[in-house]
Amino acid sequence: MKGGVRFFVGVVLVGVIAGATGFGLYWHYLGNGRTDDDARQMLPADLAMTDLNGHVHKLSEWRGHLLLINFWATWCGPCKKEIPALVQAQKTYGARGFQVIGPAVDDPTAVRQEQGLLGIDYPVMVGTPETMIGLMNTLGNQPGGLPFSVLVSPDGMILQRHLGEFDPKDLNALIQQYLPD
Amino acid sequence: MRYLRHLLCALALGLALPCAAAGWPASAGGHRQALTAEQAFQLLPPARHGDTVQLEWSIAPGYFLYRDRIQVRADGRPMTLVLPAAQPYDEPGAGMVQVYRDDLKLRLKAPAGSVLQVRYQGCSDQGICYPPQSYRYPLKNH
Repeated sequence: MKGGVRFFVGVVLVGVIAGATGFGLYWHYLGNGRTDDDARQMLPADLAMTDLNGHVHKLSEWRGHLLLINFWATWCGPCKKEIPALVQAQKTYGARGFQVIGPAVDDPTAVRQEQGLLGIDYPVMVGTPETMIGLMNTLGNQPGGLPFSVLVSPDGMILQRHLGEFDPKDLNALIQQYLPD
Repeated sequence: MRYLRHLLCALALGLALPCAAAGWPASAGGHRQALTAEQAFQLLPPARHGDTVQLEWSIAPGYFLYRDRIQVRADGRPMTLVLPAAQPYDEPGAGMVQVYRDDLKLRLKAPAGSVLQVRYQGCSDQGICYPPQSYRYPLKNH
């Protein structure tokens, strides 16, 4: 009987230690509100996009800027709704090293027309859905929806990902959080 | 052998605790993950009844398909579709649109042996939109 009780206590102890270890590992790596999405990673150095004139640009071209990569499309209502806020952010913070680029999951003709209507004065890239979905997946957009934005530090670290439309106040707060004084 | 069984049970229980902890934030109303387009707009394989083909979509709650972006081609030729009535929706950034929610059934005449190409597009009420989806279905000969 005493041996049985001792064994039972030992089994419970092993279970508690295993649980505490597992929970501790979880909390250290993913707890405190962090998710895999927030885990820092470098922007892949060889990522490239094509502009409306057919020129290829590597994203590393914008090293040294606080970079907001905003994927959008002319057929995406929420995308077009948030673009004025992005245009304003570029005007407000551009001199301090902030840069928006707008890769469109779209046809170049439609993008050219919409670029003028929306007053987009930051670099616009363009690509087929297949190309852009692959690119967005690499940057952490598993659902593949739009609008999708990625904020990248001047030294190429992905700071935040955002799927869906930005609230203008949240956008400004986010930029000011990471923009050097 | 019995002691080993007990030990394994204790280890399994211990390992189950962090799994429950990992799932708790989501089940407690944390950030709702967006679905992929395939999950949000499930197009079932076409069902044939003689010369009639039925297409059916199962649309996830909180998501919708645009009525005017549903297209079907048979062997590359656009088909005239008789689409059911849709719901009006005042979409932010786009204005008034006609959309389908929950499920959509569409019947059309398509000759046996033809290849159907079905194209559709939708968004979520959370303001996330998806590129056009396109699927090819070869219809078998009778």
